[in-house]
Amino acid sequence: MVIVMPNSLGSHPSDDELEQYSLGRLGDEQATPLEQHLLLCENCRRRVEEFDEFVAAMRTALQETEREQRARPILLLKWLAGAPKPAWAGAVAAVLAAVMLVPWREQPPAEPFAVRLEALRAAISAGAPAGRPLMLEVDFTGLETGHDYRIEVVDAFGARVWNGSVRPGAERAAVALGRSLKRGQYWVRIFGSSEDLLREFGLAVH
Amino acid sequence: MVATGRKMTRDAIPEPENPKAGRQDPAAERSGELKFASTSDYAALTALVDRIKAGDEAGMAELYAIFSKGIRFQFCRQLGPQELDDRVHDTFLIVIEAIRRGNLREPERLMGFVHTVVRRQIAAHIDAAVNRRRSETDLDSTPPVADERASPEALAIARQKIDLMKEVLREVSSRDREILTRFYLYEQSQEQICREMNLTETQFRLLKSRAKARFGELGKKKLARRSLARLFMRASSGKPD
Repeated sequence: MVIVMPNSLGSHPSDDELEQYSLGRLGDEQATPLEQHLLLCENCRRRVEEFDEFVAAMRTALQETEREQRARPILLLKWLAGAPKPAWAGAVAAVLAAVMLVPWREQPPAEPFAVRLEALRAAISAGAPAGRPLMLEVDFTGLETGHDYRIEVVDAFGARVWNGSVRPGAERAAVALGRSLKRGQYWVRIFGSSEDLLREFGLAVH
Repeated sequence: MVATGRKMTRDAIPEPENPKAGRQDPAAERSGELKFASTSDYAALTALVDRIKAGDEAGMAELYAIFSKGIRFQFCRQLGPQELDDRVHDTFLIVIEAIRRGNLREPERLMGFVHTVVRRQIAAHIDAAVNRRRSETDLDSTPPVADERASPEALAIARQKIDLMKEVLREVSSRDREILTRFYLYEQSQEQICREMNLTETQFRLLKSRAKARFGELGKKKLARRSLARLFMRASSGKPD
């Protein structure tokens, strides 16, 4: 006797169901028929194993990526702490000399640095210097003018560092950030009136 | 062939099926426990149960061939690879004994029955492990524990997969990474993520499937490179393929 299980009429669980099962997020009611199916279906067992593998790698990779990004400033401090003492003394002396010997005068506020964010170069991050106020020239090509758009700048962790709105009168509109950004990777996002993300530009601050 | 000489644990045998429940109607079959299998398959299982009830040894072997991989998979996933053969064996003893005694009154529900036995075996194992840990405070009386750590080779493979995934993550935008972090790391639901990040269900699915496809793609490339390197090494050392 040959038992061919399960049938070939599309009764296999969907990718979504298998992924939810792999993540342990299915309730008993949903997990029971799925596990019964897995008892007999080698193909779906293989798919669950693939999801298990993918989920495990994804979780660890995300954890490590977050940890590495948080640890960067600490690593710099550790490197400084590990530097030989004469090097430290030299560095401190140089800073003191700079403060005492160079005549101090009020610096004029730095000119805003204009950064052009173009839709056609969306895959390439625009560059800007750290410590300078920024003026973003945002490309609205393809978007309706005369409407309000929300502009958001987030850092590499997705944390918002600036938020404002603009009503472009033309395909390109200037958005004054009025502040500088620290070194790092940022993302400038344009949201529509219903808070839907319309565009995202990369911005690398060096 | 299933050996039947081992001691069976009676409490792991599920209660007999409810005879009043009867056969499910086709609509119930579609929505209930038969969701993923066809009725013709169930008819075949019914015939198999009848043969086992009649003492047909080939029937037992067939039952083993049909279910053993699936049972092994469930045990391994839930409890790890330790004592896998014993667990699978015990499960078959329970199922066959139940069939022979006529405890399985609705043979078409064999799959559900096997599943229930597996689940109870898993629950019993976890209960026993918890109780053992609770009662065994004296170190001398603790039974030897199997080393559950992965082998160095398995660890190296896992490490490679994580590195591949990090490569995938470096390629996605911060917003996409945030979505993946929320879903896989912080275990937020798809609905919550879509609501808070203004995403449609399609966008969400697309992002996940893209990440999975890229992971698979990179994995294949790495494998291809590795086998190519091995080939070159063999060629340079003069070893035949």
